[in-house]
Amino acid sequence: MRSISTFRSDAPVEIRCRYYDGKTSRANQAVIRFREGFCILDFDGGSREIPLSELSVTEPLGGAGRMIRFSDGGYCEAARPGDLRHVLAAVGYREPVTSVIQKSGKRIAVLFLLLLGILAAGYFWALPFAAGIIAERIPRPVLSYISGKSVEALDGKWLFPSKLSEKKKSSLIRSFRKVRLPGGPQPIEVAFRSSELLGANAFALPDGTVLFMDRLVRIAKTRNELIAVYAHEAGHVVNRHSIRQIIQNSVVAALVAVYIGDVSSIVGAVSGWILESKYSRDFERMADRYAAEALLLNDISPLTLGRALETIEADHERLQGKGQEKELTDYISTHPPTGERIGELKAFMRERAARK
Amino acid sequence: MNQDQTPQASFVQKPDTYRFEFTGSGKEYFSIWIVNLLLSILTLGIYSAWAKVRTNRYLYRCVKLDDSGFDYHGSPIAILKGRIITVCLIAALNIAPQVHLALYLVVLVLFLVIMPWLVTRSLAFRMRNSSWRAIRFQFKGRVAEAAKCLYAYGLLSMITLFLAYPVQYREIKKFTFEKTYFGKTGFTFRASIGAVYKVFLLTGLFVLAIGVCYGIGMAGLMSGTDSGKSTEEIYLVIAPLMVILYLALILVVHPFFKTKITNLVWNNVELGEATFESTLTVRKYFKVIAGNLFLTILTLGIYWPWALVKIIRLRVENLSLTARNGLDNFMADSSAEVGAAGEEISSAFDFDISF
Repeated sequence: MRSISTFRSDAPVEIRCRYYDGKTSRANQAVIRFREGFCILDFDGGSREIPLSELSVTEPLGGAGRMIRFSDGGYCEAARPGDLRHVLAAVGYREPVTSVIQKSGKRIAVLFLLLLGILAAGYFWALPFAAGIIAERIPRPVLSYISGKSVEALDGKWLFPSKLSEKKKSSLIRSFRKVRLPGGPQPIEVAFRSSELLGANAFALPDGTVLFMDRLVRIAKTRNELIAVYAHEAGHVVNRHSIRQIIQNSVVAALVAVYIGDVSSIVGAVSGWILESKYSRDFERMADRYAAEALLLNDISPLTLGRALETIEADHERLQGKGQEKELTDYISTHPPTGERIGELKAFMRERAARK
Repeated sequence: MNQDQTPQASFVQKPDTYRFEFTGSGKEYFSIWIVNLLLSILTLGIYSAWAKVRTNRYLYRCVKLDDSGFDYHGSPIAILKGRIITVCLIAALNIAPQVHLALYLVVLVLFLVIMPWLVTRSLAFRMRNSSWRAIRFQFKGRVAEAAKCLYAYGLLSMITLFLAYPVQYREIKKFTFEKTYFGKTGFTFRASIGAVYKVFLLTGLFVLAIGVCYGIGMAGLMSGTDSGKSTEEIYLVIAPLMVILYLALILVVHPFFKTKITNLVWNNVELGEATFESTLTVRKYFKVIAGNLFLTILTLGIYWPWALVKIIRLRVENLSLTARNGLDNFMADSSAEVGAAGEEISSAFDFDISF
């Protein structure tokens, strides 16, 4: 709402309007004129002279009525909002920026494209970048706290104590300790659990704990396959992927809820899931690349990771029945398709070979 | 299109019946929405309070009764405050149980204690900032009454496994309408318990029917698993079944409930001696909802402003007010303005918790 004291007060203009005095709901037919710093209001019941400093005009919003408000609570509603705009323009009133933009279809179209650009830039670049910076600065105790809470929540429901022998476990931990990682030793702790639901799997927690499922240890064809999986999880730990994912997913979920939540919560949940799965796939690719570097450092072929992925996939298929429609689910899957990941590992090796 | 119909409609109308009109358009609202969205993103959400004020002003001013628009006067700062309070409350409720169970209980009790106060303040804020013909609405509900609606009747509906929920629903409506005033003129709400129950029971039957369909489908599948069908084949049957039942819920049950309850409520509301009439039909509501859902999904949400305008137009233009003595004689409550000394203090507690 703006004051109109900037009026050129001698402008020869008048507006037909309805006047409400703020005391009763009576609608008075009225005419407004401007003269010498005053607004003169003539209506069927009488006449008023109001100093311009006690007037304000409401912002134009599409074809909605516009009001000239008086400080005593009464106001005039222009019979045709268009009239008021012409009169105000004639007396030198400047409309607020938002209404100048809203009036023009072209400006709205430009703004719309700008909005899409900002959203795309935010989704593809700014949010992952910001989450990376924030994740670096989250203190270790917070990470341990989050990890502890998640394990606490999962233990007994999804995760159960490992059934592997102590000997097997300590032998594995010893092999993992020997693995040299890019950027020197990393604060990684390995632990074991069994889980029917998760099958052959391993995952990294924010504080650097890597959980291996018993079934993965059992089905792995060689020790090096397990080392490859360890190197992949180390990639998640080093780059703080889990905490970055928590940050990115919460922002996406919040925005989606605001944007689509009114339409349908299920549509919102599904689109949030599709948007978030891209981040997850990006993290997997980054961790694969890290693992490939790590494996080379230990004179193990990066393709060992590919073999480990194939072993894991074969096992999941054996348990769940063969999946045929893989293509469709690729778009919402949290991991890139195994074939593509192996292709990237091969590309990585060619790249390295060319460099030498 | 609408302008062609108006003369005919007014010819049929009784002279003392005033139809509510909605002059907004999807295109206009889209412009406002885009500007709001852009500024909200650029200010990391802070502008959203101003955005809400602009949206409300537009929508209120587009609602016309006897050629006069409604108006919204809420201050963005109060709305921003309300949003900060809401976010803090949600955060506290989520973080407290992680820290300590005792802390969670303290926060929960605190939350339950201030909830009725928040609700009444928020309703009062919204009413005080709504007007028609320069006369403000008012909400004079007391915190104790809100607590009674929320907790006493809430407990009743809980211990009866929500069989008594319609009773609570009616009490909440009665509380919100009968404590609301347009200037000096109060609203009354006369819907009978039986009528409210009828709407809820019919809706309940619909939901039950959908539940039974789901159960039968599931049972069929379970026997399918025994006969050795693969999980894939089962998912191929389950997925469409779930989609159809979900669509039935949002496209049939939702419009049914909304139509019946809206008509019931407004047809039993009076403002002084004036009476309201709502003439929604399930068919009209279904058409709007189905079109909106389809086009909003098809356009990835861009259609949303048009969708919102359509649903508001449907609800507004099916409402009319019959006042035998015309609409010129409502009086503003001058006492509300005389008490402006207290206004400064109370405006410090002004907020709107509705998103």
